[in-house]
Amino acid sequence: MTWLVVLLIVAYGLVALFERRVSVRVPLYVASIVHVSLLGWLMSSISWVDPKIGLVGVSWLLMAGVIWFIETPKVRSLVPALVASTALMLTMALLAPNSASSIDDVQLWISIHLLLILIGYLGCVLGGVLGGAYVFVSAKLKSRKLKEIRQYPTLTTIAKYNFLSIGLGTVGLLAGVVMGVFWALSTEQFRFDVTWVMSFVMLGWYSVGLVGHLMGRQARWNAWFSIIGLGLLAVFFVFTSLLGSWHLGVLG
Amino acid sequence: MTLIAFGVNHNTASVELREQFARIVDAQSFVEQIGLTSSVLECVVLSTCNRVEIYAVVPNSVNEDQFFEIFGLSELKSFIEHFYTYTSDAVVRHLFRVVSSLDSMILGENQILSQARIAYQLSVEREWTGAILRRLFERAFKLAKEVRTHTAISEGAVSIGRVGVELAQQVLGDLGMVSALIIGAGEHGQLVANNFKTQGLRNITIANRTIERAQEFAQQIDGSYCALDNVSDILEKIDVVVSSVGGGEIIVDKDMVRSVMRNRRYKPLVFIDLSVPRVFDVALHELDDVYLFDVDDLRGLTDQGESLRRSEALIVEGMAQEASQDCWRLLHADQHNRTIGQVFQNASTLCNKELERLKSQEEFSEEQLHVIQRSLESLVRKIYHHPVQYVHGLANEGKNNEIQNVMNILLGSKLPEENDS
Repeated sequence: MTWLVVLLIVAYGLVALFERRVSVRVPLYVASIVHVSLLGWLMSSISWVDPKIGLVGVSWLLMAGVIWFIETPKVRSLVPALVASTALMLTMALLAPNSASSIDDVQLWISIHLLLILIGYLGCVLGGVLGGAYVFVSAKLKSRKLKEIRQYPTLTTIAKYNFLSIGLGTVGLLAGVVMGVFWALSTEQFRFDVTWVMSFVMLGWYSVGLVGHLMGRQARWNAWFSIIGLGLLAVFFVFTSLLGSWHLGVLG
Repeated sequence: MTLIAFGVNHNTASVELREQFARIVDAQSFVEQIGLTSSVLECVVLSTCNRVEIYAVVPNSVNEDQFFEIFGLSELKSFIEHFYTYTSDAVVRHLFRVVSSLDSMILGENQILSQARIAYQLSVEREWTGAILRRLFERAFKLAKEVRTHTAISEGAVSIGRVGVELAQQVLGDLGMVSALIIGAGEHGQLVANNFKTQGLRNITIANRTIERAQEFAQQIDGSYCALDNVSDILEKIDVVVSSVGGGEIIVDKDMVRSVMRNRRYKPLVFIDLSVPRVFDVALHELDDVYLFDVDDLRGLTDQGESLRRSEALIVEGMAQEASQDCWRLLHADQHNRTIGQVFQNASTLCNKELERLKSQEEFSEEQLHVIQRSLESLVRKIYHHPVQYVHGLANEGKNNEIQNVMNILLGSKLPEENDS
């Protein structure tokens, strides 16, 4: 199973690198079939609430998105981010312990979960900053104050990295939440607290942002979405810190 | 006669006022309307995106207020503080600075020279020019050529078209995947198209009033073309629109772009209006994700390589000053030669009258009359030799008022104020 997942990761990595070439279609489709077979085999051999199944399953859903988007020019820019995220989630699945693991494995598991969530929040923060930069440069252009405009990146560049940051943030959050939820379900420790709510709300918010973009909304939409998202994140952080939450009930 | 110039440029007036002035003087019939009559003897109208100027020769000296009346532009009198006016040698100095691009928005840019040539050529073709403006402009063009050959003022200078392209890049980033529409197939349009090509933009469409010209230009740059009336049909697939067309009618308005933006899912759209009068509705800028810039907005991006050109500008200032003084002396010499010619013409007329009188008496044969005629002509030359030498001496010393007095005495009457040119 390990080698199969490694092969899938390599295949997806290559697709992410060469996604503009038509020749990547065949390995992509083959990898996708192998991926779904792997998922089927996992579901037949281990408990369905196992984090490995969660990660392999969610990553396959992302791949389904890739197969759909790769033929659609307007949303094709999502493809590298989605393929990279799939590879990341498969790597996590490879590292993830199962529900009946030792305390050391659980520590590793929690570290991976925290790392993914942090990547997610980092992406969201970066997205918020870039969203602010987009609005700032756009306002400079609108006010026709062009004297210093050369020192700023182009609107398109900011928009591109803003979108990639939101994509990274959403995928990180998704992977982290999936791992957390499946592990909590498998160990029967799942219960709602402020951190859960915060993560779900943020995930929902950015998912709506990404879907809006896929529906045709452009850079300004992403920029405002990520700015408001950053604001929400800040509020949640303050709120969670004040309440002393951070899953302490579960982990303790 | 008096040499005058007046107008507005990017330093003195907003694009709104410049386009208002341009609308009036760009009209083909402008000079015909005012007429090359007793009030305006010669005229050249220079209208570019950054300046609108009239150079003229009028019979009498004029004050600032009269400039507007002479050209029937009383409606612009309320904007008098935005206009500059020059007379006599100041006109020469100003024109020489203009063609040397010392007065340009982009120091050292080259377009102004060809624009001035076109304006002058138009006046020559319509017979609006005479000896004074011909001498003035020919000398100005000679200076402009010298300036560009012997100084580095044009080195690193960017054209307004290049600045426009840079601005499009600032919004749209890499131009490789961008589609551009250029309205106008004139010199500016070609400059913009070439700059776009240099920056890797491949998909260029040309729209022009004359479809044949658009087609010809499109073939040159390996682009496509369309009629000016069809611009709204293709706008949806375009990312940057540059206009360099004259005429002053609005070609793209807010309602048109509002529906286009909806269809293109609010992907940013850049309009760069290099036309004066402008042809894009100023309200376009109010729309989200639409960025509209005119020539005045581009000023902030024109400082590329400016430090080198600024140091060269000092040398060019000197060249322009020297050349304008030489030219002013030449114009004066021309003027004096014309007046001296008039003196000899008067004398010749008197001689002919005298010969006619002798002929009518029938006392002299044809041969004798011929001898008398040659004697009279020789006498006239001898009588006027010293006064003419004296006038040339005064001219070399620049004593124009004294020349005027001598001429008045020689002609036996006061000439209409010829002390200016």
